[in-house]
Amino acid sequence: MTKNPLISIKNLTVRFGDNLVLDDISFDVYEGEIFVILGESGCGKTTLLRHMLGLLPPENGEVLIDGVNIVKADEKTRGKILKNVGVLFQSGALLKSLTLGENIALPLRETTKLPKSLIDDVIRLKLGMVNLDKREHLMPSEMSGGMQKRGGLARAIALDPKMLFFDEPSAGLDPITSVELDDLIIGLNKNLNTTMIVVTHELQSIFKIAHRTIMLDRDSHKIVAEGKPLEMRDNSDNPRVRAFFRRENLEENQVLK
Amino acid sequence: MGHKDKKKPSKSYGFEISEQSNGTVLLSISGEVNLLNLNDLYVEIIKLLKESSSDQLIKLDFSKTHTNDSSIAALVINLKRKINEKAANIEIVTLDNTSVKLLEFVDLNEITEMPTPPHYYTNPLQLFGEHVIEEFQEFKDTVSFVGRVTLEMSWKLRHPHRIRWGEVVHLIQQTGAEALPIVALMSTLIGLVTAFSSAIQLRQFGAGIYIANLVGIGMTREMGPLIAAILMAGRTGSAFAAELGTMNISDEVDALRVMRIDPLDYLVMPRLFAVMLTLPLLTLFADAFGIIGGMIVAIVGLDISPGAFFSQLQKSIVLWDVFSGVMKAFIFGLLIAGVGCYRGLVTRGGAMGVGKSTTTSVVSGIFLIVLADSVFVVLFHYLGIG
Repeated sequence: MTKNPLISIKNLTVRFGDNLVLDDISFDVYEGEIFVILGESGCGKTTLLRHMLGLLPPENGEVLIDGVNIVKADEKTRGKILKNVGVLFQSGALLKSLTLGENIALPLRETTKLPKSLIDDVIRLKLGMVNLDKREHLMPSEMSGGMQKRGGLARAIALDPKMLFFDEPSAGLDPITSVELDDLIIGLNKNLNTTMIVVTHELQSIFKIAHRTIMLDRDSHKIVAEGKPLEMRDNSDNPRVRAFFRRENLEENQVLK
Repeated sequence: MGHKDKKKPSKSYGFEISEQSNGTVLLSISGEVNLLNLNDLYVEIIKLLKESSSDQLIKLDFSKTHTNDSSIAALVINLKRKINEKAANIEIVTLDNTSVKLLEFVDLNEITEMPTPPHYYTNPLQLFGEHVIEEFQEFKDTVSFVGRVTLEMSWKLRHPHRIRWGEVVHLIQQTGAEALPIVALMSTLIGLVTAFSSAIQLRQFGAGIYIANLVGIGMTREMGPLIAAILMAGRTGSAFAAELGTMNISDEVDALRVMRIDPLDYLVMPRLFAVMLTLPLLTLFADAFGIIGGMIVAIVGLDISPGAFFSQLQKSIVLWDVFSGVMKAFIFGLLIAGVGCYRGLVTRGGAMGVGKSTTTSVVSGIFLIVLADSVFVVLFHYLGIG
């Protein structure tokens, strides 16, 4: 793992109206890392991800990707950054008016000069990687939630991006598919040195894939812990962090009183 | 049967009041309490509270009750709040087992407190200020959208091979061909009604033949473009807002953005071009059917032969009348598709947001059509071509 940060978040503050969501957050993601952002429901994980992609303007702060601030970037620079980025949205976000195959073809058709026959082969390769072989003619409405998600992943990796962002990849997937997805994430990371930014709260998945994690806190809107998941589980001095990793009820003791 | 149950729940619980020596009232409740008969019990407790003096302590004993639902737990929360607010002098002595277990799940002190509702401005001046800021923001967004659309469109017109023609053709089918029947029907009827209501007046002066002038000029200049445009706003503008709005709230628009596909190029431009090409054609169509409607009245009601009607029509309208209508339709199309797409792309907040966007797209679409039409009237007048 080289030591230059690929993504660098500096003093990011996000507010929706009067609601503070993220308060002065800073962290780095290094090249070739599987970086997991975790935290309780509603702590702003997805919001953070959206800001890292420049989809929403923050109140304050910088998001540097490859040294370029995506917050202030113009359309052209942002396009250059996003060239190296693939995103799997929570619901898969396949375009409902196109078939699965056309969805995966979309980034290939729009941004490369590949001929149709080669595009078709790339589609088959990517569909095979997410176990959706021969399903390219299905419309998203004919697919289950899990299939749509895997379809979304196939589209996200269509151009073999340098960075992959996942928004709750295993939510709503059965355990077997979940494990396959984890293996795929690890495999892509090892073989293509893809940097992964994963938002999740699936513990098993975190322990299996994460090189490093940060944990966001719902009440203070800050990062409460940063490090390797196993170390955080065993050595964190924050009871909330330990409870999260051990799947314990923080309030259990209070109720018994 | 269920109706009866609701009105008169079986009074399966007992209610026993005993006054103790120190003035304390002990209320002992026994039997089955559930959500169906809870109200009766509540009413009786409130009655007792009202009758007792404020320094009299009332003790509630639930030890002999049993329940299978959250009725007593809810009652406890309610009474507890009254105690906290010093509105009642009550003490709950014992609770039944079910309710004790239910209440273990929650922090009783926490949930008896009423949450502070979100802060809303109530001062009319502040409300007005908020509104002005909001409107200003929206105005800014609209202007920037219009600017971006204009730039993109002029670029596309200079590079026509970059227009997504496949998509445009498909949309023309959807917005144009499929709208033909309704446009034909509406404009025939409106032509008919206009001609009919004026025929009675014209006949009094023996000027029945001028029905051709009236319908001809009225339809080609004003009614045709307006009928086609208003139908387009209702059919297509709303459909664009709903479609793009749904795509927006299900992350599809963001997915396009991160794939470096500009939604403006991929979604908005084909729709704009399709409507701008379709609406002028639909306008011609509406013109023709409106005039046919007028002709039917002329033939049936005024005994004017089709030949006489057409020769009068030819004398009364010039090419400019038709052309000015078509030109207006071009602009109306731009407004309708622009508003529909804009509303779709700014949609927030789930299914309700989509509904709101759809409504707004139709309302502001029709408003903009009429506004633009008035501008055209004034403009043509001062240019001396109206």
